[in-house]
Amino acid sequence: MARADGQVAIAEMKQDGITIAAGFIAAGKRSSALFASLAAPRDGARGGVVICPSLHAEFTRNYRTEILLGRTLAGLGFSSIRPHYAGQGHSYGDVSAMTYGSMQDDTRDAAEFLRRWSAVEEVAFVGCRMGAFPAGAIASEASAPAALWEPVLEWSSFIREAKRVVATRDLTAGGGSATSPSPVHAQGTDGPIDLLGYPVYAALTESFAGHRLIEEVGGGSAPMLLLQVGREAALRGGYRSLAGELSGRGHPVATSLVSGDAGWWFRGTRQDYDESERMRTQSIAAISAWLSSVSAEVA
Amino acid sequence: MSAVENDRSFEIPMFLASDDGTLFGILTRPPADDGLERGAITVVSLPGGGTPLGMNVNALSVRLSRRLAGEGLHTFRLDYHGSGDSTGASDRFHLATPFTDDASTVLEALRARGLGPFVLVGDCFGGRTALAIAERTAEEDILAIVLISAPIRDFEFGERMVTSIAAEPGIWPMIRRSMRVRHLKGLFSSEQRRLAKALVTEKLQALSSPRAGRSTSDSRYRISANFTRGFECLRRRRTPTLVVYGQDEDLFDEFSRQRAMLADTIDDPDARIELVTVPGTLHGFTELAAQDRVLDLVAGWITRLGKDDPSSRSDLKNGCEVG
Repeated sequence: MARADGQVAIAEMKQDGITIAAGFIAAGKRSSALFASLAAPRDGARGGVVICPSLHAEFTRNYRTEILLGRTLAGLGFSSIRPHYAGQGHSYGDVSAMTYGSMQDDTRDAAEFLRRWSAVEEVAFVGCRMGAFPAGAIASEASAPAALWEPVLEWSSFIREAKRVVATRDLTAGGGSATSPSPVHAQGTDGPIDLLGYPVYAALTESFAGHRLIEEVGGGSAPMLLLQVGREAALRGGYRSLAGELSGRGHPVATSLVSGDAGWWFRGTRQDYDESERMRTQSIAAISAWLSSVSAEVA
Repeated sequence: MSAVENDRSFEIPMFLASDDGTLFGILTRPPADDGLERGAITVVSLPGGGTPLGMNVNALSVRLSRRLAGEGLHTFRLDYHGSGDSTGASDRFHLATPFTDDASTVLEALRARGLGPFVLVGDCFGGRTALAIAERTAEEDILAIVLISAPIRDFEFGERMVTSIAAEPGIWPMIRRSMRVRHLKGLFSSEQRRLAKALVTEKLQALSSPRAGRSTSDSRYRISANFTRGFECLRRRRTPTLVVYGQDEDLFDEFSRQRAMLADTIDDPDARIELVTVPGTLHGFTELAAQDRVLDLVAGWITRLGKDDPSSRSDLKNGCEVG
């Protein structure tokens, strides 16, 4: 049943020894509610995890995997929260006003709510793709462990990848729509870029200008995980540099590779279904194992 | 901001027990609701297989829900089993087996709250789910149906293009297409070679399938018996139905090619089936402008339900464009 006390409206249920919840939370000084998915162990959590999703199509594409990650972590004794950034998904707010700063605020608010909801003090962060920015930044503030899950290293590469995906889709589909404009274009001077049906407003682009992930993360010396998802047999150059830099700053850095093509922007063909399931399972296992080991070391 | 957005208590997250686990969804109540839901028309959004989440692409169903709530309507949006915040195992999305159990669970739960009748809004796989569940639901419970980019054939998610190309008459169109430079270049990619092989296999299967009759092949390559049966049910019941396609999408091309088989249904003067096309591609909601058009179209159509003289013919009857 939902609780609607003016502060929160959350539905909860019990399954397989954990509590699963989802609904609207109010935290911080926000004027509109954030939606979040939560999970917690039945008998009290030993720590919490904020799972920061990516943006746009990636936000929906990886949704289920991130939810299952949270529930897996609950089975291992961690509470978790996966917020929808203000203006995205079920959350209220104006998507045109979304910025890197607002994503960080949402992440802080989610962490604060998780601490209260599950009575934990220590919170780690997991950031997938663009979610690595707020996850890494807030973890850095708190000197908290952070897992960077196929992280985007800078905004321009995120947009470049999106355009490449669109071009590939057009090649497969036979040229795209004859009368529709290119999916990646600016709709007038005030309008958003249309990224396969997701709007990218100037405020978001401008807020990420000049920010590189390597400069946002790594405050303190907390453990970090760098999880690469791709077809390469070894860590990519950019990730090698990131891992090296973080190690140099005193962070214990673990790396993990999950082989395959994640297809962050859209599902593939029927033949990709089994591979997607395998990659999901392996990604969740890698992050869960790392968090468990980090937690054991701290304890 | 609207009253709905300002007052968080107007959206109620819910977990609903089902045979496949527990479904998650959000009930949105209009601001004027005084808590009495009995007899309230409720719009149920059924998402497509590509984004099987209650929020849909770019929160389209969220926007529709809150907009309709502002018009005094209850709405419900759900995550299919195995998706989003629902529990259960992930499932493949095959149009021959839409998630009618999920839809049934939702309708039963909403009825238990005193809500209904229902307007079902489904895109792609969701549209086929709406069509299928309407057949299984008492006539008086389904007030209207909106089908957005509903495929007329039965195939599994990810097979749309391959089966569509395979269904084209003869082999020369496929050969001509494969000789285009961009496709030849694509063969340097192992992914593209895999797709090409799948296409050839599918084409051979299509060429060897029977031309007529209600065979599985017919449903896969031409028009599904499930689709025609569901459509006929809507005609027979005179259920107000809005069928929307993007003018540039292959699903509309297929619908147009098979229109003759649906003529008895669509062109029945007593049927209340309206076909509307919008510029661009709707399927997958990959265009912002198309999202806005369909949002305006669907919200406007639903809010006008029951307000117009039911005996009058809509200006949107059969094929009118909305720009």
